[in-house]
Amino acid sequence: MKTETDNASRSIYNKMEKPVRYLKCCLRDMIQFSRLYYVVYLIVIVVEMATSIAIPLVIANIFELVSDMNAIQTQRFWLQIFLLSALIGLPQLSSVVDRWMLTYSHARKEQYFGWKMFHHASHISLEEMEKPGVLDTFQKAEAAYSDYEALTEFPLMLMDVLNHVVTCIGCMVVLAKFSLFLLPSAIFSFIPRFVMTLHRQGKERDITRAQAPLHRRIHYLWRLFCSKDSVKEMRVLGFSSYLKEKWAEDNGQVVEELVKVRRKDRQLDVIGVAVKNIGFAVNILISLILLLHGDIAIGVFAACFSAVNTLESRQLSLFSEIPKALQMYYRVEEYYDFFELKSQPDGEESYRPFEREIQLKNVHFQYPGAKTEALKGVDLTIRKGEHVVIVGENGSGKTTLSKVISGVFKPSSGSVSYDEQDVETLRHKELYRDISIVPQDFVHYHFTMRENICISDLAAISDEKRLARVIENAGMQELIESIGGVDVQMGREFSGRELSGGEWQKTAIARGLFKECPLMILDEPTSALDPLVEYEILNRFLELTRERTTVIISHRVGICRTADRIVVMKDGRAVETGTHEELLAAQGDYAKIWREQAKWYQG
Amino acid sequence: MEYAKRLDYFRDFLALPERKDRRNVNAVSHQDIAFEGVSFTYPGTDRQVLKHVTFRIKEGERVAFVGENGAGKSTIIKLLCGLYEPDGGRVMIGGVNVRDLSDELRRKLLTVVFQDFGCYEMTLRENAAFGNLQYLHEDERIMEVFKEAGCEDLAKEGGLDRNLGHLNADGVDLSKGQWQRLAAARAFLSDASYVILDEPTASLDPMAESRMYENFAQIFHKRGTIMISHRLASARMADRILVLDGGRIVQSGSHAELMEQEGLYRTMYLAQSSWYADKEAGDED
Repeated sequence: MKTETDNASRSIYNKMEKPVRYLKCCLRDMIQFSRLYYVVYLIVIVVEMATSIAIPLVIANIFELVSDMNAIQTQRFWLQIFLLSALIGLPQLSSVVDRWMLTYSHARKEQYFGWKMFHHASHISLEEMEKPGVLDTFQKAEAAYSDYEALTEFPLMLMDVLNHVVTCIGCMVVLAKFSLFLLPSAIFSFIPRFVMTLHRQGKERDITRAQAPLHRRIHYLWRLFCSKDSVKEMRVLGFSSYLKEKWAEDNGQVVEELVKVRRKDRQLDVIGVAVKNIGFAVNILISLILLLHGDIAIGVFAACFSAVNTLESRQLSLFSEIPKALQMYYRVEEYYDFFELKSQPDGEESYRPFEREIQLKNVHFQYPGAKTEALKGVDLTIRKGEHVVIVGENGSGKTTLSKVISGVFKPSSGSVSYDEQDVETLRHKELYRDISIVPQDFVHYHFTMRENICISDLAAISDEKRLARVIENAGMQELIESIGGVDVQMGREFSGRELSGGEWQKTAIARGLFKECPLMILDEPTSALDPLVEYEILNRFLELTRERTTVIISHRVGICRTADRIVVMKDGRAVETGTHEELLAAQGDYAKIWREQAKWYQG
Repeated sequence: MEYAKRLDYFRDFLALPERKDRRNVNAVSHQDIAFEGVSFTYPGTDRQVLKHVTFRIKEGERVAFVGENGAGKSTIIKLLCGLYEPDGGRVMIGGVNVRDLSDELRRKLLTVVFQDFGCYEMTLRENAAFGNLQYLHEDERIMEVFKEAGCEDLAKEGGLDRNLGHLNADGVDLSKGQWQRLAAARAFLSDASYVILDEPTASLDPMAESRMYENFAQIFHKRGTIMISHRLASARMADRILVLDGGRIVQSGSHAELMEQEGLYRTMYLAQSSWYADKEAGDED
């Protein structure tokens, strides 16, 4: 589905499949973006083509009339003169239309192309986002979208190119009409340059593609210098010059490779220009000979001159616009590549809130690009109202398991079902209404505190009572008082208040609590909390969720005693399940983990 | 016009003020750390995070900072690393203001694992060696610290040159706990006199956490350690515990001493240990 590398053996059809598909997308968007404008532009282009081809013919006519002095007096002559002036003046139209479009597209582009990206970004599946290089696709799409010309003007560029091609052909037909001798050099003079232009573009494209990983790293290195956290670390540990050297090295390589190709281009370019100029000189010479021979009239000679001139200028434009058009196409491609990222597959069936249990049957999961499975066949049943705690070593698959339970990750094989409703078949929007998650790597939203908490259930953003209750339960009253209320801007990004690691974590817990739903999943909810707050919040949390189903992942095994069931994860499998007492008596992995942690707090 | 504007952006960037500290002291006579009446407010905010904090850490001492969220623990570390200039008071190492130490000397004195440590999407080797670049190509030394940090298995598949993160097609992402072990390895690689650890075990599983506490004595023998942790088990390993509350130091002493006093430390310790205490006995000791 996705073409990653140019395979020489791939058929032309395969190679053209994507451009053709993207072109269709582009045209569809173009029509939706602004039909009127493109139609007007198309008319202008057609007028331009017609006038350029007509000029030599009119010139020939005028000269013919001039040879007969009496004809000058006729209306026909003046009509021709008027026509010629009109034809010369008309092509300026397109630039007027261009200006009009510039203001218009600036204003509308965000709404159209930007919104489209936002919309798709919110639906991309998380598995897809785990893939290497996906960041690349995001960045390129963003760049393509920021470069507004590429998306809105690519169709125009195509029309322009078409305009030049048709005009060139038209001029050749006119020349051929005057004399067939003029045709060969008109055709051959531009072929070498044409081939070279295409070849060069292909080469440059190959190089940029090959350089993509390098560019990715250059961007990444720069981003490290932009973030306060990494700058802090590199300064104290002293590796900023190492990163700078890497950056310079990578950049050097990029430039060197490009320069090599471009230098060769310049040499080929000189040959192309020389061939072209010789071609035109030959044509002028041929028409002169024809004139002297009496084969063509003086008017036709002048017309030939004009046609050759148009042909040359149009060819010049063509060669400058083909590379631009291709560049634009690459941007277009980068933009539409983004939409090739798979959306989260959504089920068709409506979800009925679960009454009995969540069941995992032989669930396997493998991250894209990973060599081993993160989950290797997990069987687990969580009954409604149960409090389950998942413990286990770093990298044993706890977080992955929680994401599979909530349907965020789709198992590679096996099934997750809520009362026999397979998660894959369910409409996620409905399922997620029932699930609240406090993830390990929760987000610090640089919004107001109210938004930070209520973002989990925006419909209730003005429910002051619920908000106050949640703030109390997350132990945040003092914090809210000290920052000056819930409507205070958070995060330094927009010169708001910055919170400490633990304070952000309380905010994340409050966010999870604010969405009042039957299933709550918490991944390491207290890793940054001080002992008193941890004690308070966890106890209150257990109290609050007595009626609800909870899944808590924790390295603080102390909490296991309160759990209805403990699941011990080891190397992608659920190796033990049971209550604290049962598992202690079993003397297995859990007992070992418990003793290991408890010994620090006993005696 | 458009280009002129862009040039302005570039000028604006270059006009961002550079740090103005001297950074030219190349030697210190001793290595005691001293905070003398240090107060601090983050730029652009009006809340004083530290209020006239004074303490001393003797060369080679193992100290733990304990306190509630937002009490100012991480700020102390940032000031100690010379990242910010205090509003009042002085932060000294060996009698010299840390902001005046040369970068090289400061690195010989301190290494740090921040709470929000970096996860670099580069090779495993580079991730470790950022703690001390002179060991970049000394595989044995790197593997040694990996063992100490409990992340030697990371090198099992693909060796030290395997790529981490999503940046490269062959890169593998690690779990948060695995990244944390790697961050610890980075600190262990350094030869600095003090190792500073801000919540080094927050994401570690119990076995790894326990092993890290037990290794402390061995890894940091003769080296000073300054640790911030909400896991009070770690504080028991320290020679001295400093308890912060609302930007001030309110208690100081060993675990045994602090457990004998009524105070924040004892309250915290009892709260945390209650998760592990036998059900009948609400208290211990």
